[in-house]
Amino acid sequence: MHKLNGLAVPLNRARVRAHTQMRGVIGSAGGFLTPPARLKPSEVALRFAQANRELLARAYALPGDRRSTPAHALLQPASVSRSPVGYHVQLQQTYQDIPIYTGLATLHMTRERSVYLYTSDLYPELPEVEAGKAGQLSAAQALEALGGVLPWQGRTRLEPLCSQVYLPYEGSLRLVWCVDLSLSARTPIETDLSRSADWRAFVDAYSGQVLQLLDTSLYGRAWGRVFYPNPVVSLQDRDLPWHAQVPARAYRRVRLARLDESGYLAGAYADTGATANRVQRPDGMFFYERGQTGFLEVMAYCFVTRVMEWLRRLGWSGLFARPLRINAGAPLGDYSKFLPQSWEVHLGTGRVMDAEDASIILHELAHAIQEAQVTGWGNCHRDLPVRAMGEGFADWLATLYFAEARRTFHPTYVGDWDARGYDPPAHYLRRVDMDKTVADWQGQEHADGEIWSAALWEMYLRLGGDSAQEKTRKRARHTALQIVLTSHLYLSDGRRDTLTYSHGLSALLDADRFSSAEVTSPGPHAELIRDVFAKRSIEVENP
Amino acid sequence: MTLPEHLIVFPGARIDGRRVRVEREPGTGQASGVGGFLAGPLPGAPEEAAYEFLHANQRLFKSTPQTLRELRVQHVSRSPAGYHVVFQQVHEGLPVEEAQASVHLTRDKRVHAARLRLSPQAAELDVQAMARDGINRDEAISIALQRVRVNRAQAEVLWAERVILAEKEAVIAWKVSLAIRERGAEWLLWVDARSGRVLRQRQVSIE
Repeated sequence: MHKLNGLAVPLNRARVRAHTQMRGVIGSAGGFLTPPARLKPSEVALRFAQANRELLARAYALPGDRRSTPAHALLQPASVSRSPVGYHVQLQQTYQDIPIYTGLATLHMTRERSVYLYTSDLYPELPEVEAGKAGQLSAAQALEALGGVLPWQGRTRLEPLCSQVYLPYEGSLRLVWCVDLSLSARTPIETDLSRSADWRAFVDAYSGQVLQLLDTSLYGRAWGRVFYPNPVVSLQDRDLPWHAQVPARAYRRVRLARLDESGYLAGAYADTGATANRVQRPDGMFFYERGQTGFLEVMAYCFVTRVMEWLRRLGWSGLFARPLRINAGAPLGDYSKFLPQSWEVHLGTGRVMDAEDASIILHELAHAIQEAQVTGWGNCHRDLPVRAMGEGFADWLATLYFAEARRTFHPTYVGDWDARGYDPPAHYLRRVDMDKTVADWQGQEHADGEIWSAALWEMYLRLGGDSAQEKTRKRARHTALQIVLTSHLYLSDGRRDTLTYSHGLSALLDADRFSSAEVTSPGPHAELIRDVFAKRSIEVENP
Repeated sequence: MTLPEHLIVFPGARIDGRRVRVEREPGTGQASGVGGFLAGPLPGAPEEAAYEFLHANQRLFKSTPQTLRELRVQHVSRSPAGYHVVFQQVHEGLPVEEAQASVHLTRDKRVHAARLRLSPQAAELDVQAMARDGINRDEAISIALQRVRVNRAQAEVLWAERVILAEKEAVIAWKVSLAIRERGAEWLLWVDARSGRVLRQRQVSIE
C-alpha cells in the first residue's frame, strides 16, 4: 500500500486494472492511500477526481472546471454510504444534466477519509445525438411505443415513471426514455410479458424503438447450496447412513433464479411462505447445510424453480397462475403431499427430511404441474387408474429431470436418499424400471403408478435416452417430455373416474401424431409407443 | 380413442358421425367422444372454433341448444399439438359437476377430437325452486366439518359454493373445500342444499 502525500495517484505506483467492458478505460485502481482529510466525503471524492483526470478517463469534466462546457459530461456526487470501513461515494456521469445510465465512479475511503480504492463504469465517449433536437418523442409517445412490445395498459399498479437518460448501447450513447412500470398479471398468462412483474424499459427518444426490456423484479442475485439431487447420488454411495456427516463435496453451489426482492425464498414459481421460521437473506446468500434452518427451503425453492424454468424454455410457460406455496418441513411424518385447492406442497419429516431429496420435491411438483394442466386431475377415488397415472408421471418426471446427473448411478430410482432413513433403511422409495404389467394391479396408486412410470421410462430410453451420445439423450428427453405433457391435455374433460390406462395411451398417441408436421399420418413414434405399452398389457381400446 | 391410419377430412365444422370413430357412454350408448378426422380449418379464436364445432355437431352428441348455450370456456391450453379447449357446463349460473366438453384443434385450428360429458338433466333443473327452503352456506360448512370430524379452529374453509351434482338425478349441492394443514389434508364435500345430507366426500390431497 503506497501512502501518498496528496490526492494525485501516480499510475505507475497504483494497482490499475482495465475496465472489463470498455477498451482503453481504467476500471479500477487501488493499492494506495491518500492523506486523511477534514472534508465531507463527497468533497474529497470530487477533489480526488479533479486530481486524477488521467486515471478517471476522458470526455467528462467536473463542476467549476474550465472544461465544464456543454460539450463535456460532468461528474456529480450521487450518493454517500457509510459502512464500518468508512465511506463510499458514488459520482454520477451526466451530460447536459441528463444522467448517463450506469455511468458511475465509486471512491472508497477510510473513516479518516483516506481514499484507497477507485472503481469506474464511466463512459468514455460523448453522445452522438443530443437531447432537444427535432423529432424527439414526449414521455407519452414513448409509453405508447412501449405498449407495442410490452402490453402495459390497464395493468399498472403504480403510475409509470419516465425519465431521460443516455444509454450506452451498441458502442454509442443513445438518448432514451427510461420507463419504470409495475404491472399486474394479464390473464391468461401466455408469455413472460403477461406476468406480474416490475419492468424497466429503454425507449429510443427519437425512433421509439424499444432498445432494452429488463425484468427488474429479477434483479436480485441469490445463491444457495443444495444436494444435486441427493447425497447418495452425488457421493455414489448406495449405503450412505442417514446419520452420516455429509461431506462438502456432496453439495453444489447453485444460483437461485426468479426471486423477488423480499429477501425470502419467494419468486415466480415457488414461495416457501408456508414454512415455519422461514429464512430471510436480503443479501441473497442462502448458504446452509443439512440440519441448518433454511437448507430445506433452499432445496425446495431451487428445484421447483429449475424445473419450471426448464419447462418454460421448452415452451410450457404460464403453467402456474401463482407461485406454489411450500412448507419445506411439514410435521406430517415421512409423507409429502400436494394440496391442490390450497396450491401448496408440504414436504414431510423423517430421519431424512423429504426436502433433502430432490426427487421427492420433484414428485410433488409433478402433481402440481399436472393439476395446472388439468384442473382436478386427482379429484377421484385413490384406487382408480387416473390417480396411478398421476403417481407414475410424478416418479417419471423426478427421474427424467435428473437423467444426466444419475446416468451412471441409480438412474431409475426415486427417493434413494429418503429411503436411507426408513426403518430398516432401504435403497429406494420406488423405481421407474419395474417389471410390472396391468396383471399386477393392486388398487394402490403408488404401486400401480410403477406400471405407468416404467412404460414412460422405457419410451424415453427407446427414443434415444439410452444412447451413449449426450446430444441424443437430451433430444430424447425433450421429445418424451413434450409427448407426455401434451398427452395430459387430451385427458382434460370431466371423466376422471372412467379414465383408464388405455385412454392414457391413446392420449400419448394423439400427442405424438398432432405434434408432428404431418398430422394425417400416424405419429412418428406411434409404433414405439404402442410396443412399449403393449409389453405391459396396455393397448388402445377397439383397435 | 384409437386413431385410424388416415384421417377423414371435412372442410367445415360439421362431421359425418357414420364415418368417424365414435366413443359411446357404456350405459346410454350416447356419443361421448369423436376422433379420426380433421374438420376445418375453422376461423376465429380457438375457443370460438371449438364452440362452432360443438354447435355444428349437436345432433351427433345429442346435446340441446340450451346445454350448448350454457357452456363456459374453462381453459384454453397451447401445446406442440395445437390448442385444447375445455368448456364447463353451467346452468342458471351454477357449474354442473364433472360436466365438461373438450375440443382439440391442430395448430391451424382443424378440430381432430372432442369429448363431451354433459348432463341434459342438469339443464332442466329449476334452480330457483330447488334452492328454496334449503340450507345456507354456514350450515353446509358445519355439516362438512362434522363429517370430517374437525372443528372450525382445526380446519380452514377454503371456499364453499353451490353446484349442480348430476348423478342418478340432478340436485343442487354445496361444494365445500376444507384444508386441515396440520394433517396435510384437503377435503371436498358435496352437501345436498335441501336435505343437508352429505352426498359425496373426497380427500383430494395427493401424496
